[in-house]
Amino acid sequence: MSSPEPHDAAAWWNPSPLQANAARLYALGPLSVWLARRPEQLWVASRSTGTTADEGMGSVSAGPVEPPEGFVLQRFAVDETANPRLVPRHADRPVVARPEVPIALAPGQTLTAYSSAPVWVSVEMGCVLTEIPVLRPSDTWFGTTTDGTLCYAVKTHLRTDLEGVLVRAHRAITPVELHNKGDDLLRIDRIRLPAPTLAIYADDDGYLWSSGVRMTRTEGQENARVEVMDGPPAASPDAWLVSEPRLARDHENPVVRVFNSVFA
Amino acid sequence: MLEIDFAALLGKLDVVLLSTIRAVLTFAAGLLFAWAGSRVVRRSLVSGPASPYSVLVQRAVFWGLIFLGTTSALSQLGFDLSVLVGAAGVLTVAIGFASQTSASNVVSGLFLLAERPFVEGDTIRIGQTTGVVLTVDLLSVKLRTFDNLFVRVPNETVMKSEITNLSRFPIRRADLPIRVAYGTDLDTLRDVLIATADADPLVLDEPRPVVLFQGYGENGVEVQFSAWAVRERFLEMRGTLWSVTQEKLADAGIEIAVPHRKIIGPVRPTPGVH
Repeated sequence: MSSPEPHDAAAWWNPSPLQANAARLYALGPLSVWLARRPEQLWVASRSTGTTADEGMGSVSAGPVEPPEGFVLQRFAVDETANPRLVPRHADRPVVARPEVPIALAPGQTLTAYSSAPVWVSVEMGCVLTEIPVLRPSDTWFGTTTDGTLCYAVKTHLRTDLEGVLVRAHRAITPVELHNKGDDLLRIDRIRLPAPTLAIYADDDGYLWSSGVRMTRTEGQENARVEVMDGPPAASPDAWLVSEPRLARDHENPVVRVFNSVFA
Repeated sequence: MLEIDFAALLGKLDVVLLSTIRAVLTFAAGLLFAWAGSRVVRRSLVSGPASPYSVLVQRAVFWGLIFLGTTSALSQLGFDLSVLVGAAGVLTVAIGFASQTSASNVVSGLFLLAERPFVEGDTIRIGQTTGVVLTVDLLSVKLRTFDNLFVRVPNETVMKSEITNLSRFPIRRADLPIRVAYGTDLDTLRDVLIATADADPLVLDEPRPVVLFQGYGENGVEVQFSAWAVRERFLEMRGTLWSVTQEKLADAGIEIAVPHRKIIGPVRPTPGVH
């Protein structure tokens, strides 16, 4: 994995040495993570409020010596020469984003929209020790009752302009290009984003971005050609790579079911 | 004076010797084919859907080829085997009558193999028995119940019964019948139930949980509250959701209906009448 350049020291994903017997507290929206170095051990405690309260950029501060009350503690025996760090990662399953207000694309139309989803916080120290979702989305099923895929469900505004997108330290923004090359209206009630195949980037403004996704409806109602763009998104070309995708992209089978729409 | 035709004798001895050698070679060839053929059959079945029967088929092929080799060798020696045909016919009838049930189980087992309503590892319900399929054998299906009992179900019974495969599809729906007191605001009830389901991370967002009106019961309004979960966490979801539902209904002031009777009688008791 590429090493990120420390553009913003306050960004929680930037590596910062943690001294022996010291502790650090990360406030990441609904999730709080406490790290403490002990002799030959790393202690990790976390607590999530489970709400969607916005906390802005988040904060990193020195933490108490003992785990805060109400936190769930995990302990790891680790290589003391490494430094602990938190890395944002995408969900380990596809994410079904449901627009709060559905949108329909006329035949031949193209739309670029932005969807944000909470990230998973990967605690790493030489290797991945544990992963904690900032806000565990609910499970959802994409497909029929006899065949489909288990996904996470998130609600999104699916905004078409960045001005309306809130900066959140714990969410990654995914640019989605939607192309309707069919002959009829494509109403979008929900779209399935291939989260495990998306990388995460960070920029100077403190945004977390994911790889761009292009979905082209070519035939039928719900099948589309899905392409994951390489490199940082066009909306933030100077963003740098923070974490690689979990899975390699399936170049062999780019036509998958991603839309779940209804004829207008 | 006894004259011995040595030439003819030697000729006959030659024929007998030749026949014996042919018979021995035929039997040996039969042995070799039986050994090789059974191994080939077993290898080809081991990884396929008929793998539970691979040993059985291997033995059947082995002894079948041995039998063929033996009869060929005997016919080389000049034995008339036609008498065996008659005996075999009688034996077949006797065995057939004696093994009707087993034969039915075997045939049912073959149909089960072809139809595959379940496979090893599936959780199924046959009649009153629910368990995990351990093996699907020639004569029976073996189950392990959830309280760790071993149940053997003859294939004939399986074929004639209604089988419910609880693990065929990836998601399942849990249905909770609820009876609420008359006068309950059904819209509020629906909102509380849906919100409870939405708050449970194990309940799938899609397909959506539903509240279905079932009718006006004797003691209250009957509704069905249904929510979906992935198969692997179905029991866990059902356990947690039902207990949380009770709490949320109580918090919302929604009364679960209980049977009650209204007794209509005189206000004052009549003296002397009990």
